[in-house]
Amino acid sequence: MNEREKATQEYIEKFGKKPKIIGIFWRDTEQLISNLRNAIKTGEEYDEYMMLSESERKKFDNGLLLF
Amino acid sequence: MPAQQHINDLFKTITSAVDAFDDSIPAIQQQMLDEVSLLLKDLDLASGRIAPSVANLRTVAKAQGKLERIVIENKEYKDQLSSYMDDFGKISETNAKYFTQIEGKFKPSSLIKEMEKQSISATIDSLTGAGISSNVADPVYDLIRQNVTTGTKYTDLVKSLSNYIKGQGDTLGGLDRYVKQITTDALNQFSANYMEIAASDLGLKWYQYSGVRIETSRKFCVGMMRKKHYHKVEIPNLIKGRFPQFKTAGGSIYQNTGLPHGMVKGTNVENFQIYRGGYNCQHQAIPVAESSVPAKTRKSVYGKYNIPMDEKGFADKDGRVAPPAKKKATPPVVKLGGQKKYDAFMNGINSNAARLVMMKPKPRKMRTTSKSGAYYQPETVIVDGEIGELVMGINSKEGVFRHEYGHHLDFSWDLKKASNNKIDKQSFVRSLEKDFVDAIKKDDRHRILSVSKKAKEAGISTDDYYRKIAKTWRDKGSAATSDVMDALMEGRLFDNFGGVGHGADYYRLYKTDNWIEMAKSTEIFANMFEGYSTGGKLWAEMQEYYPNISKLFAEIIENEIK
Repeated sequence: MNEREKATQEYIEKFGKKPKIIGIFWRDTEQLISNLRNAIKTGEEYDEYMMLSESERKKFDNGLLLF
Repeated sequence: MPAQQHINDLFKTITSAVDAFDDSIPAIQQQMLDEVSLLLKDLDLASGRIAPSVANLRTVAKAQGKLERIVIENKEYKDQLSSYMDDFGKISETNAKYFTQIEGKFKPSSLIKEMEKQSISATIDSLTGAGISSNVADPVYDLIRQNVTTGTKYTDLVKSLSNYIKGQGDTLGGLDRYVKQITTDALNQFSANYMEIAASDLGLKWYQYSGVRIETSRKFCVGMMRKKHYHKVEIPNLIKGRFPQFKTAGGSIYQNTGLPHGMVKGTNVENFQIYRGGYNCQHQAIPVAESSVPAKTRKSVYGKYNIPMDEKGFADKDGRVAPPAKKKATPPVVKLGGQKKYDAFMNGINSNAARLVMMKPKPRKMRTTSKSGAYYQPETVIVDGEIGELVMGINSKEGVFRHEYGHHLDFSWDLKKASNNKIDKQSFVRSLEKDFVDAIKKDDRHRILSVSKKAKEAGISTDDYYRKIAKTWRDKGSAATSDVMDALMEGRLFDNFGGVGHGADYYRLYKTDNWIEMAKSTEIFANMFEGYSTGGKLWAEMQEYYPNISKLFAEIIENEIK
């Protein structure tokens, strides 16, 4: 199990479900790990979709935001 | 302190910083040439020509990693870099002193401090690692490799290398050219950014265009120096060359950009103070107090632009020109990033990919943000023959740019065919064409069969094999190869086996009916462009794992640039 998988496992243990990862940080694994650990620390669920602005979410929903 | 004295202080700080760094370069270039020459002594020759053999290609491959290290591990280079970075602090101090004299209570805002941090980080990135690799080491490596594969005379190769590395006559060596441009632009643009934020904070709208006229000064800069003072409202006309001093200086507009010759493509009202006359521009736009502008100039501009003023030619504070909007206290976009990353990208990719990029329209917008992550946002309306916004995290590496640019190429491939400037997404995305989709299906079958076979040979389960291969690619930094596999598996390499990729939620959530197939194709196309344009081991790896897609992709590009 690598560091990212460990952080994901800890996240699931804390929140009872998987974090919502849509690929924003797919080339920056360290950032993703740091985000997951921060969510565990603060108790705030991790949802990359909700990290997008409303207009970005619309574009993403229409296949017009690619990572 | 008058603006001219301020520009003199800035000019002195910047030129002495650039010169000090530059002084160390010839010795490093000589060392680079010596070490490369030593490596090339192992080449097999036949009648004085380099034999295009596998052994020779291996010798060349050995040189690749070494070239970058020769520069960035050089003690003198490291010392000069460290000393140069201190000059950002000196520029800050000089600017703070100037603005304190205009407004006694001036203190650099948190935005300025954050921008300083980002500028330093972006400059370090350009002068070490990826920047040196793509702009200095890779061209030398390409030169050697091309000469080896074409069986050039050994003496000709040595001469070419010497000319490229050390320079010849008036032409600077490769490292010298690159370092000089980066060190000059980084401090000038940092200073310009600083002044732009400070001017906004203090509500200053007038500028003095200052600097030292040199032999190579652009006509635009000569005209602006003669004009001397300008108001922000004049910028739209200035960047189109619509001012008398530009014409008197003999200035003209470059048709491809619609801007005065020498200006950076994409220079606009928002970034003019940062880019000014173009790359290597040593002039500065210094914000000045309204009272320091001659009354005649003020009255003339206010009159022309209908800005209410009093009888002494001072603008009415409640007049029609709105005060500058307060910038949000969020980390700023470092404006120099997008173009720099594009330049590094163009210098780093192979010649076929570069030709393709030149043939296709550039993204309508390219910018960097302080956030991590990167994305490409296609558009369905064409503006001036261009679409798309490419956004990069400030620290994103070149591979990420290549991937995102691959998305852009995919979406802008056939813009000319669009009618009424509207794009039908399904019709114009190159990766959705049948032959490409078929190649993906073939390689997906190839994946299933070959993984099963290789797992059996290794005596492990297919799941363990996926885990093993994901780790290998992760360790090697083969993100693009891994992401293609993740796309074929609709995100399961990331979710189930620890691989690098977009993950299953990207492929399966929130999207329209055909999203999965479209996402697979577009991501694979982007990764293929990254692999093809990078070449070397990455492309060889893709050819091994995805033989049909990679073959077709190479054909698509080679046919297009014929």
